[in-house]
Amino acid sequence: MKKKGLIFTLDAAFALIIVVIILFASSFYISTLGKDYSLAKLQMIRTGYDVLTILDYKNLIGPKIFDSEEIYEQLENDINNLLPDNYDMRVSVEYNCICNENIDPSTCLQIQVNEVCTGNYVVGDDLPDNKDIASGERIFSNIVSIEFEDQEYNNIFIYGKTKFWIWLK
Amino acid sequence: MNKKGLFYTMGFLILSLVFLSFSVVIFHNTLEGRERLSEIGKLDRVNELTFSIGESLNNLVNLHSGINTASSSDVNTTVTFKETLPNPKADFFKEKLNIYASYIKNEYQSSPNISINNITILDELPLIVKPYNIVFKHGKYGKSDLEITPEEINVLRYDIIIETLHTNANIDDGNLTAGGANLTLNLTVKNNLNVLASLNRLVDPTKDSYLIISFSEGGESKGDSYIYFYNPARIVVDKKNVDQINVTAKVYLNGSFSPLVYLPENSINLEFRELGILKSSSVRIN
Repeated sequence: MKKKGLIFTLDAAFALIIVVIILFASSFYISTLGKDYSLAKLQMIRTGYDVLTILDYKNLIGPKIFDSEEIYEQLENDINNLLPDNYDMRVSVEYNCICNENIDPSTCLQIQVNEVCTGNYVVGDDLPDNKDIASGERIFSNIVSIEFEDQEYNNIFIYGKTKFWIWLK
Repeated sequence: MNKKGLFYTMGFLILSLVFLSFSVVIFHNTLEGRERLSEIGKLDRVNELTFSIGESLNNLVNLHSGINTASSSDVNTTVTFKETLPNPKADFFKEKLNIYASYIKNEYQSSPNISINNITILDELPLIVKPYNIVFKHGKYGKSDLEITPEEINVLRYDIIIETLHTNANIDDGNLTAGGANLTLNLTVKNNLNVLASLNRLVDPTKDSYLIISFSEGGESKGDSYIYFYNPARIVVDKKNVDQINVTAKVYLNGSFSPLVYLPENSINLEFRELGILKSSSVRIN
């Protein structure tokens, strides 16, 4: 009869331990699930898509990147200007082109294997190991002029895929 | 007095159960919230992809299909289609659209599976005028004809301009029927120097009828083109045995909404099995 208090305390302690274990297990499980998508990550993805869309609308994505180092740096600056200060971003671009009907087929074949028409490049920092990274992709297209063997060709349909990776600094 | 401990324990147990129940409810809500967020993220990706593919398709059609469209709702509500018959760009456009469709198919074979319905687009190249449900299409894209089909008689007038390289043209409208709900036909045939022939008259849009445009040069016949009318106000321009004509068809619509021109509803098809999504998208081209 004198041990009633001890038993009661032990009972309460066991009950508390069980509840705490369940709570910890739940929160661990939830945090594991949240790795793919969270509100913060969705916001990052949305920001990434916005940056890509603006670059596409401003005709900044395409083979012009190979014209000079200056344009490459310009694209990097444009991305940094569009991004909020606390984000970093890496963009990869794969592109192909379709000649216009006025280009003769043999020249078109040469153009299509040249880097003015087919290729890929990456802009931005390397992916960090210790940050939560969000990513997305979109298809782009543009009607551009390209220069091949000192001649300019207009109305070239450029299309391809842009991918981005975005993370908090 | 002896039951005090029991009540105390029961009270504590009930409190713990309430606490646990709340935990379970919060856990389930959070879990569901995470699932919804995950779905929103995936849907966002799918939407971005179909939208961007649609924009590319729009660029491709506007640049290479050889069909120009324009719409206006300033004074009159009109939509205009301009095309050369047979369309000299058709083969080139078919080849390029097939290349682009293959590219999309290869890039998105699963999760999500995205395809461009290039077969329907390239067969008739139908363009839908919304919200008037008028279809501009061809018997066969790249061949000799184009047609404008309203689903109901919501067309007030057709202005058709036919441009030719020949020096003479004659319009035979003996087989056109007037009466009923009247539709105005304003037809002009011209070359780069002069108007060769013109016609302005009422047509019964509910009756099948036709007119013939005969081309000649220095007294030598260069062939005939036909314009057919079918119920309801459907018009078909067929170049028949003439070598080439440029057709501008301006459609005056009965309504004040600005007409928008789209590719068909199923131009882009998407299947995302993970979320059980099947989506068919249209693409606005004007």
